[in-house]
Amino acid sequence: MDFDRFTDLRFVIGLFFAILGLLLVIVGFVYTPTMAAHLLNACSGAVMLVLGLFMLWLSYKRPL
Amino acid sequence: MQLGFIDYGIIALYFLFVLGIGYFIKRKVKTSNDFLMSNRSVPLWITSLAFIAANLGAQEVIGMAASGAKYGIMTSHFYWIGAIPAMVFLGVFMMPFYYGSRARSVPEYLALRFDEKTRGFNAVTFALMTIFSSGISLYALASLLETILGWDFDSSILIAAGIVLTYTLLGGLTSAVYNEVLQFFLIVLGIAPVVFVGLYEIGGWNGIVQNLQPVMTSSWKYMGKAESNPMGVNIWSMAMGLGFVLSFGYWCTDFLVVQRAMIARNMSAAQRTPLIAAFPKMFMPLVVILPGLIIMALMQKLGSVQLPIKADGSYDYNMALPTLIGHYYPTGLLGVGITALLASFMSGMAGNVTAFNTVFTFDIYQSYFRPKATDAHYLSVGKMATIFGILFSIATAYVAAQFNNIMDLLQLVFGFVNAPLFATFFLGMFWKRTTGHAAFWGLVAGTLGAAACHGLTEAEGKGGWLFSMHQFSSGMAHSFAIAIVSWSTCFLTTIVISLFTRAKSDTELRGLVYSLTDRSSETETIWYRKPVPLALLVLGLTLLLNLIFI
Repeated sequence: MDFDRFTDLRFVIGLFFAILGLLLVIVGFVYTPTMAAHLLNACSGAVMLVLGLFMLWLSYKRPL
Repeated sequence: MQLGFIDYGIIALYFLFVLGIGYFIKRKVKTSNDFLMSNRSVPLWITSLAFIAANLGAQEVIGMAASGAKYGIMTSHFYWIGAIPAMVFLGVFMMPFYYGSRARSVPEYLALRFDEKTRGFNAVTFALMTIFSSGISLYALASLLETILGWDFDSSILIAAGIVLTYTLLGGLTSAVYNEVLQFFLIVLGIAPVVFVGLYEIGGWNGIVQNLQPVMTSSWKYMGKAESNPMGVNIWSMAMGLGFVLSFGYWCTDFLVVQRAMIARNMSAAQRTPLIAAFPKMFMPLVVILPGLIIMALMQKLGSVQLPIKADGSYDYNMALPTLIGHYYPTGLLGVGITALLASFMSGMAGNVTAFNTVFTFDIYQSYFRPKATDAHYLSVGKMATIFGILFSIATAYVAAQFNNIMDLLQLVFGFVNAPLFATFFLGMFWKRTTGHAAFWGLVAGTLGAAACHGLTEAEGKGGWLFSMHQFSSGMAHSFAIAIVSWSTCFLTTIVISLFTRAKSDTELRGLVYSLTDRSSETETIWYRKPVPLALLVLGLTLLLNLIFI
């Protein structure tokens, strides 16, 4: 593992929101009792996941 | 409000990342310049987001939602009048002096431009202010967590302070700035769903307009007379008090925010930092003020959600945002919302502590105690200042818990000190005749002028401790008037004393005042990389927002 990546903020933010987004999407589909809760978790998670993946892509496309 | 296992997991994930940032940045910190100034090597997008994130503390996230609920969309004046124009002024006119002089801090610029006593006055008052602000932020965090989650007050304080201390001590300013950017995204994404769902339920902006008094949904229409709006402020007081004195005093001279621009890689990036920060800043009311309006409209229309009532029977407006989060968010997103609130408190605290350790090390310790020590020594002092800054913050939080009135008094006194500062900077940068003696005594006179105004006037039962000559319609109008008096006193005193004292020579002032600074060095050719076109775009968009919500 290249630990220098962890000093690239795009990578850190990307990793954080990718994990958080994925977690919320999963929670949205398997853990929430109501349709509203399901939608809130899944949609918010999807937005965070997209942001996370975009930041990760940026950090790989143009490394420091 | 009850957190589930997943919510706690999200909070733990956040803590892991903020500490991880400090751990990985640590290997890059070798000198005091790395620790306290990030070696002036931080990319523009990071300095820009950190610039607004350092200000996105508890007072803003919780306080602006509270003001939105209490005053309505007029609260947006704190952004569109009370921040954006000053940020533009900082970027276009003031950053060339701060960055070009190679000063490491705002007080150090004062030493170069004026003299040591002016620097000392600013450094000591600023250091005290940051510690007390950090402590108040910590106290507010622990109180909120105790109220909404039932968490132990002491544990909340120790855990939050411990985490901020760890990542700041490990990675210094870079670590704090990186965390501020992460916190910025988390705050926006953690609160935005509340706004989205709330707007959906109430029927969009039209639903808010239909369910609230017209004065709550107009930013300018009711500003003609102070009695016509809930803020109790008229247009002149708003423009001069908030839009000029307080706004420019904070955004252009407070080292907490200016420091984020001073660590940019070059002059161009330093100038563009506040200008680029102005874009997200102008839209922040959608995230931090709108929840306040949404909850009031929902209470009116559906009654499905209710603000808590305080002991005196009034609404507890500070609970506007936490109440909405608790009302709407399911397990999972609730963890994100609570983490966003935690992030806002920690961001505000870390911002204050990193500004404190720089000012203490360079402007107090190096200037007055050990001027010629080794860099390793100053690095150690910077780290010790960080530890003591956090310890004093914790002590302040407990003082605030015991004596709320003492904290009000301290904030008032620091307000007196802060208000005249912009007059000193304005004259110092644009009138080369301004002298060091004039700057110092101007600041002292401005502070005394503010105290006198507070003692001779009153509002909402506060002030008038000498005798009451005038009654203001609201506390806000009172504080705006004090700021105007303080600024004017400092401005006039500085001019008069300057005329009777000896100014520095042109050679000494080169690069420190507008008329003696070379402005032909701009190398950028693309319009969006130039400060002036960016500034015009920012001002145009801000004007448009004012017109939309007029």
